Amino acid sequence: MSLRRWKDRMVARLLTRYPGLVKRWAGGRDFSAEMAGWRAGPAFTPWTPLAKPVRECRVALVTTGGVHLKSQEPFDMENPDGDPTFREIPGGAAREALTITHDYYDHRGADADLNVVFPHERLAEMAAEGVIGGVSPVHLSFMGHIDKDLVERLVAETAPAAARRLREAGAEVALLAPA
Amino acid sequence: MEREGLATASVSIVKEITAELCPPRAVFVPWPLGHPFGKAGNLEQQRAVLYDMIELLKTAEAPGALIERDHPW
Repeated sequence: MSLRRWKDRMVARLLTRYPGLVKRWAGGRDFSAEMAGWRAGPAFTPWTPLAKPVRECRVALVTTGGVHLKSQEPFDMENPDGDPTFREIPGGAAREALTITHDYYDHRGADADLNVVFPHERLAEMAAEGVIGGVSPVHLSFMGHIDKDLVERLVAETAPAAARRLREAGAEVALLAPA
Repeated sequence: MEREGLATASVSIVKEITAELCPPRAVFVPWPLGHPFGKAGNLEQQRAVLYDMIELLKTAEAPGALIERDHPW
């Protein structure tokens, strides 16, 4: 492992251990300015009302936790600005088929129990209990470290493509979680 | 995703970022980075966050809806 990747992992562990560092980091940035073309606030936030009861909706998970199938190309850990691509995860993927590639958060908890960032087993239970209509045949996963010019690509290209993909797969609701 | 016709709910780990970016529906959890659904093996925490997200989908009427829980770590 390169020195830079080792350092990224150590910083990630510190941020998890000391939440005050996260607040300081967040306080020093202007996130809406960093997101090209994004206007923040209730008046600008896109909104889709629920078209039917949740118990009839197909629900997809969207994680930024760097989860992917072991058979898929891992997220890019060499580019210091990150990776704006996403991976499709089949709705019924087995835990053994999944792994995490992400140096920018401490994922030892998620390694022990993937539901910590990607609650696929809990969602399946909710479908079996009738709380939701069903599990989407496709979930999506990003690697949440995306910086500088790659943010523009995320906003202009990757995010709309990801949304279309979920819609085409028949998802009606998406539950999003950062890592 | 909302523009594409999907109703969404998000987990928030850093409230300051959520307040600035104003996602449609968000559930704030006071847990460390890397743990949006709680501790490994804690099924109750994982379910509680998912149920809060479902609750927001049922009840929120405008962007910026937030549920904030004082979950213990």
